[in-house]
Amino acid sequence: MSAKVHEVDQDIEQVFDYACAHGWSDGLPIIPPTEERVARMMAAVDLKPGDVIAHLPPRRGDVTVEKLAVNAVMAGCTPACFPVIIAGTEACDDPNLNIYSLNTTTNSVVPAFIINGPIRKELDVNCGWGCLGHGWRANATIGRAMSLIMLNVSGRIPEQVCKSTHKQPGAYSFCFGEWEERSPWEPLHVERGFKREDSAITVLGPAGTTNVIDHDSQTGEDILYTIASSMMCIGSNNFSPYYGEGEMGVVLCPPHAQLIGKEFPTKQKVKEFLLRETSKIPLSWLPERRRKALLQKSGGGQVQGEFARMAARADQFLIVVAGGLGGYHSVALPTFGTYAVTKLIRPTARVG
Amino acid sequence: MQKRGVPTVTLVTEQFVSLAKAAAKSLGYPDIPLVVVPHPFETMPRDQVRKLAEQKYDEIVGKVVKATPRRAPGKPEAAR
Repeated sequence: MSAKVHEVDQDIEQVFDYACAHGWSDGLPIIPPTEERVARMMAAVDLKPGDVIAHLPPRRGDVTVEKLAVNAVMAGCTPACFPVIIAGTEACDDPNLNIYSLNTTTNSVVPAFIINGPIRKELDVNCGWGCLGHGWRANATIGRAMSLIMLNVSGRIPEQVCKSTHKQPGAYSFCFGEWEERSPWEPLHVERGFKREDSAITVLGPAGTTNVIDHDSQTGEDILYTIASSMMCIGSNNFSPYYGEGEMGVVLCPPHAQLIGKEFPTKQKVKEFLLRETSKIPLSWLPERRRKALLQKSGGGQVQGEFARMAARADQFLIVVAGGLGGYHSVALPTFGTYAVTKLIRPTARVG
Repeated sequence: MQKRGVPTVTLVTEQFVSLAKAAAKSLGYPDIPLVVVPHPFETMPRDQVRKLAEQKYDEIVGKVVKATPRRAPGKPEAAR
């Protein structure tokens, strides 16, 4: 093992105290990353311990397979999850995501992870009821491992480096799968250039989750109208200061997706509708100072007549289908002006 | 700029000093000269910015003159 080895009493509480004292924990108990456990984690991939996967800012050090494995063990991942952690780290390293800003901004944004493809079933990733929440080991531990990697490898140290005013509960763990089988459209990873039989991970940077309930609408268009109206938010970074940049997520529950799919044969049509219907923010919603500032800088076409737009292009909406059946809640994921990144979960890095 | 041999001074608001130091260290410039200004700076009215510039002028010039340009040990280039 090339990492420094610490000798600690085997008592689990002492290990936890020691990890907290060194700033290695998110505040919750960890699995002690013994040499044996780290070796078992690394054996799940066809990579050497010293292989460098990324250079995550702000710390920008060499992110080795061994460092990732230590954090995956601490988070409680099974070795079978490790190829997902490798791909998730590669995704975070892509400049389009802008992980430096996600990890240092005063905003509440965090990297959130969406898993697609056959690996969802192999790892038992929750794509249905409560998939953004608790109670599922794969979701919880993959998301937590990525969060611990942000803390221990990238250097997302609260207050000192991470200047987020509040952060958000998703900073502990934010990972779910797309319920592809319940989507009327192609899965997210296929839309983004991969094959259906590939497994992939997508990272985006939500500021939080906005629940959107619509029990009453009987048509897809009406449901989308409710979602669009719920996404018009003058307190969102997507509106200002980063208008025209980045993607906003929409997690459609399967019942909403089915209704919408009947009227909108492609995701592109859904996005065009959302673009149009989120372009109706009355300028009267803005206090005077902000209204003036918006009018002054609106060479980008954000203001049109008496209304302001939430997005500049249809491709600023990312659509994914997940959540339970029976309820009529979808979820909007306002972001930050950063783009989602999708990476292949390499079959060669899978457990044999 | 510093990489190109131009002496630089970085202005940072008081809330971001610890982040600026951490980022500078990870980029290979642990002793980068910093001039600290009040927070928030982004929304400060123009006349106050002018006053602040006058107040900080000597400190900025002093640190630019003292700043020795040197190249980083190569880490950031290799990183990307």
